[in-house]
Amino acid sequence: MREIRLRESTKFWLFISPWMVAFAAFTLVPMVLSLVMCFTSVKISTMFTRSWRFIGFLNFTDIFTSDSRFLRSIFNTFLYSVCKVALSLVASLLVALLLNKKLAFRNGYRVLVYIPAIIPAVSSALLWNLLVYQDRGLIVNLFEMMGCGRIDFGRPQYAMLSVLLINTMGMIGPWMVILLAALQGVPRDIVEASELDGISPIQKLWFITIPMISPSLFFLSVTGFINSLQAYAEIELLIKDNYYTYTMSMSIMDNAFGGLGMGYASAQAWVVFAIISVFTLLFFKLTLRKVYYMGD
Amino acid sequence: MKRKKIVSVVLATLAAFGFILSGCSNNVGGGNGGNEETDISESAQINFYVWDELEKFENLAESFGQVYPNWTVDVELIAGDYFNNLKSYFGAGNAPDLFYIEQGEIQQFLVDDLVLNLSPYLEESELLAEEDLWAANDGYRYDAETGTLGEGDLYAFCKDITSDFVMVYNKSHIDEYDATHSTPLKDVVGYPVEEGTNYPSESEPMTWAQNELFCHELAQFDGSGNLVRYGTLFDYLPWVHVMEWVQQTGSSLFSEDGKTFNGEDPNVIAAFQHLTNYQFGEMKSAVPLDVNSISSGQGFKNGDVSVVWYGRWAWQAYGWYDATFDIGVAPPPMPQADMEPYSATSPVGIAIKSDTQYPYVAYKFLEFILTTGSMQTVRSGDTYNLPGNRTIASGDAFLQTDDEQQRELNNYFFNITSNAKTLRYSPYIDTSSMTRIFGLEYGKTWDSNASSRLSASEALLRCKSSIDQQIKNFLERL
Repeated sequence: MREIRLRESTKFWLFISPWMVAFAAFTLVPMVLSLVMCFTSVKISTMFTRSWRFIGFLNFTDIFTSDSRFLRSIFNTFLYSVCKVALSLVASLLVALLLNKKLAFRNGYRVLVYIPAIIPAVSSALLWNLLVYQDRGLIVNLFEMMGCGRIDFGRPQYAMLSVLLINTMGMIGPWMVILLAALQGVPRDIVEASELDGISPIQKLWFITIPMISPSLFFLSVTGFINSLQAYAEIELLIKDNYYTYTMSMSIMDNAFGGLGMGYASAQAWVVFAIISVFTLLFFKLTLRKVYYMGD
Repeated sequence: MKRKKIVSVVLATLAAFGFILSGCSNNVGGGNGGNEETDISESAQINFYVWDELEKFENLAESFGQVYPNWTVDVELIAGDYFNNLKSYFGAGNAPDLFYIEQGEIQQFLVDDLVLNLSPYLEESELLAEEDLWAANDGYRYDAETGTLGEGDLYAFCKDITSDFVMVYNKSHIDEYDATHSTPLKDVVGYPVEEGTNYPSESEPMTWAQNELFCHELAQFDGSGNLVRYGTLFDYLPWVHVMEWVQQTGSSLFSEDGKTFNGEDPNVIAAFQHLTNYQFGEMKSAVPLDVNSISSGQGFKNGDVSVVWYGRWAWQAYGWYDATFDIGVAPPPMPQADMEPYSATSPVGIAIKSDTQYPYVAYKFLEFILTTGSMQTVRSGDTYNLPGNRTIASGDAFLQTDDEQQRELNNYFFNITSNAKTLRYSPYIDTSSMTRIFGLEYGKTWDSNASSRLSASEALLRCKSSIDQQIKNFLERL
């Protein structure tokens, strides 16, 4: 019996070891090192060639008392994340509801909606940069032809909005797929019974469809929020050096390779981690009660 | 239970590993103690990381190998962000022996003693002397005892050089203006003219105000006031360009000790305001910096931009030799009339890492680049910039080259670069952080939304607050 158990557990560890090694090498060890680094003044150019100088909580003190740009970036990032998740959810749900109906060329439309998601993020950002943030961009000229004048999308009132709209477009495809699957999982008998009772389409959507797909909505919200809080390339490549779209990740990158060094950047990263954790827990607490799992 | 113990032990080991690493030190670097020679019979292999001119340096490495058969130089092209990659290599302990450096980037490496002091090698060199070097090499001087940039020993040599922001303009745009206006442009603006022509003088600079008007008059606008032909553009190192303007006034961006930003200095404010004037307001002739536009170098060749600001290298890089119009050059405009021309240069240098295994070999290759290699390049006619060896640059091979267009340009840029001044950076803030702060804070001066627009002095106060705080935080960590 013991031999069987030993054999089974050996197989288990053998199969899981590649993942464990990768996890340890690329996640666990860097996390531990970063946690140590945030109490030091280490720089990237001397990270493994010089000893690290312990400076206590100086990095954290400076983050909260003298780095107004980082504090602004926290505000920008949260605004971006909340709005992006909300917009993406609404847009992808609407598209999923439409494409769940029996339409001619329905599959073709689904493919078209999904295509933006397969374009690499960097290429997409560079293209949108040419279209929207160039002085003679196509979209700029289009708005001018429509009589809106020449709009500078980098200005305060447009910067965040334009970045949101552009990045949301790429999210609609994958989220639509998940919501479509969820919509198709809504029991037909409940829907038919409600229709027999004379429910209106809006009531059906609010009281039946949304509760039934709430686990998927919850999953997309949480993962979308966490991903958006780490936004970097999708904004940096679109619109560089803009006060209104400067994110936490940009600040961390700036300090990691220059600025105040890797120690400070690590401290910023852990502050971001703490903020994301707190908000995720709060989000769980506030919304989990509203998520309906059919087994419950 | 047993499994839990194993997991706890593993985690504790990893944490201990992290702490041990934090105390771990090769204490490498600081190899600036001497210049021990490697015998030419000994084998040595060094590497050199570049971001351009790969073929040229590979050829030079091959030629070097013919002179020193036992010494090999591997030249590699580093794509992407060169300095971020370079810092990562240093951090990992496998930095290249030789590498490109810039005067705005070297301070971070000097402060950490990562760069080899070249002065002892230069003093003993039989092929290269200090007189052969451009004065701009002072930007690579550093006094390790006082932490002062611009003084002391040399830590890099300029690989090539040019005045960075010479005014280059499209003569046909001036001809076109004069043909369609009753008053010629030279009278409207009042700029010093080249004798016998209507074009700007090649030796006497115009003033800032004249240049703003000059660019504005050459720009073309549609009915809504939008630019359809740019008077000028500042996509090429705009904030470094502003540093030139600041120094033209006699001021400096930073205090003598480099610890504070002179954001309240009226001359600094005037220089920044000069940038805003081109981008916003009555004298607008360029798009704001945070709005992307066409590349000025390419746009100039296409006739979309009237005035650009470049060094000698732009003719090769943008194919201006084949331009369909005549190109004019003039010295950078000055704050006031009757001021001596002042142009800035921020030349790319080559440095050697302080803990290289073969400092002598690395130095000999650097010396080769600036002597035999430089002469080879000049004779091939493949000139990008002025040679980093001033003696070679002043020789007939460069100044009396067969190609007439190149000959005129070489002579013009040699004269203007001979008096070019280096830019004064602070050793306590890196250029990326500085330009990021300018981009985020100073951009509000050309905000089309009046309620959020700031004046130059207000914006610079914000920049000062950020930059001074960053320097203070940096010093606390030294």
